[in-house]
Amino acid sequence: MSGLIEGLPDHVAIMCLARVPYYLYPKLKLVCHSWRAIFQSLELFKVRQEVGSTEDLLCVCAFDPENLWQMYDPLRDLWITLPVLPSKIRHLSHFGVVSTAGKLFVIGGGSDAVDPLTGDQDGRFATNEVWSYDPVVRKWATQAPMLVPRAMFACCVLNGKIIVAGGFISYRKAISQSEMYDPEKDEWIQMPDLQCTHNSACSGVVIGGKVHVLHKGLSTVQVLDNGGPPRWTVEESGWLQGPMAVVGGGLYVMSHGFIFRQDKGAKEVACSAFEFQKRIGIGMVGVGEDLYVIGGVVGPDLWNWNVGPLADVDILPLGGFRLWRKASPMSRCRGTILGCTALRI
Amino acid sequence: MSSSVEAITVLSSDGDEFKITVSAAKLSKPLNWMLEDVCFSDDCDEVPTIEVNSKTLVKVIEYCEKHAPRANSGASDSDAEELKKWDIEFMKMDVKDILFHILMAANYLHMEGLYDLACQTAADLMKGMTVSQIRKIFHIKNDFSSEEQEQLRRQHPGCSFD
Repeated sequence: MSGLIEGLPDHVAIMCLARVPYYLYPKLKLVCHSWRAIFQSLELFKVRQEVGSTEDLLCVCAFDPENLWQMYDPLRDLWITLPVLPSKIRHLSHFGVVSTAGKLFVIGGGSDAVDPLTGDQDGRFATNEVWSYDPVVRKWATQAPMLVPRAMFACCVLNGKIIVAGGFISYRKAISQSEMYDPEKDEWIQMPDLQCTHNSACSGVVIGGKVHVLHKGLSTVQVLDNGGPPRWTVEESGWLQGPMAVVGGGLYVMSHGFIFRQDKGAKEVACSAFEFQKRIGIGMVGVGEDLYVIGGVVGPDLWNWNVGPLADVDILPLGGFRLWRKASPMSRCRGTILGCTALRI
Repeated sequence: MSSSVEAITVLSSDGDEFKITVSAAKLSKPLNWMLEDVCFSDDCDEVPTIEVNSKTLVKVIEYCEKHAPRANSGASDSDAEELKKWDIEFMKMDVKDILFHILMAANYLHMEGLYDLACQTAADLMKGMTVSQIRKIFHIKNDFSSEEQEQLRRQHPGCSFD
């Protein structure tokens, strides 16, 4: 890389370019060859991290339309539609989704899609395929597959590496294997098995620099102890059950019409969330300092017989005055949220 | 060491003399070292040279003098607001003529605040501009061939090259 800006050494020029917001990238890539190369490089992402100019974009995949991902830019309150995820599996769901190294990763999952003409099961319960989306090049790519196919598993990022654990390999079989992915090497390695499996979906969150795996319906969590050789330990937690999101290092759970901040052993109400009680299949995720509640389906009640998929997006700023506000609704995705995450670029 | 020193004299790369107060010089590590040298050495006659031209050094010193009280004492929030406004006014300058020199000077003098400010200013400049305006203001040559340009135009229908 040389000669980014005439009259400035590259290490100074890159400091300027790293502060440009993501939405200008398509334009700036047209300036010249060296600019196009730098805006597509991992180097720029690293500098952005150093100078603290990274942006968090929200990525969402809903039940409808099939396998379509949309991305939300909080800076401009604008939705961008990604190219369709080119997986052969129709209605891919129950996958893991995370972001690391400036890319979006869609991992495993499966589908119970039925061919509408023949009635045949044409889905696959669990796959090991891994997809990445590069928001700068705007392309999907296949990555090294997981060692074990799985769906409904815990998936999170620890120190830039993706950790998956548990989940189901078939309708009846829950698994305890866990593995770790290094995005720089494009390689999965085996990790110690979970201490216990349970016949329910599990999810993973990172709190206090440690991976926590929670099974639905269990009062315990399994924590990855990575001080010495990695191993899972079981802890009694008694955490609230419900949609979860980590915002600013804290765990927030939606339960009984409230957003709770769940700390080890104790919980406190962060805000009311009464209006979401009627929604099912919402997505909940932390983007920057804010908590996002996305989409879902409103069921019928006494006054309203409509069953409607929603495209709504509600934001609760946890860093400032805690008042819900609405973002622009998703322009294409609606209904049950199959996956959502904050993509840091 | 004479504790009465309140300002030091430095030379710009053009050979002009400038005075900078001790508290302002503290914003830059290299300037601070020079300051210590001047204070501690017996012969205070020697005037240190800073490899920054006069036009830029005037601005750099202006920035230092403005920011010194806050950097040294830690002022209130209202001061911070006022300082931000001042920064915006301060950064209204020609890109090639002075902004790039400020960038280089801030880098060379290890002045984090000014460096961040100048980088951000350069980045913000690109916001409302077309591709050709960006090329013009940053003096960048369009090195795409006409075929490549045609291809890019097809890939990015929303963006204009002109």
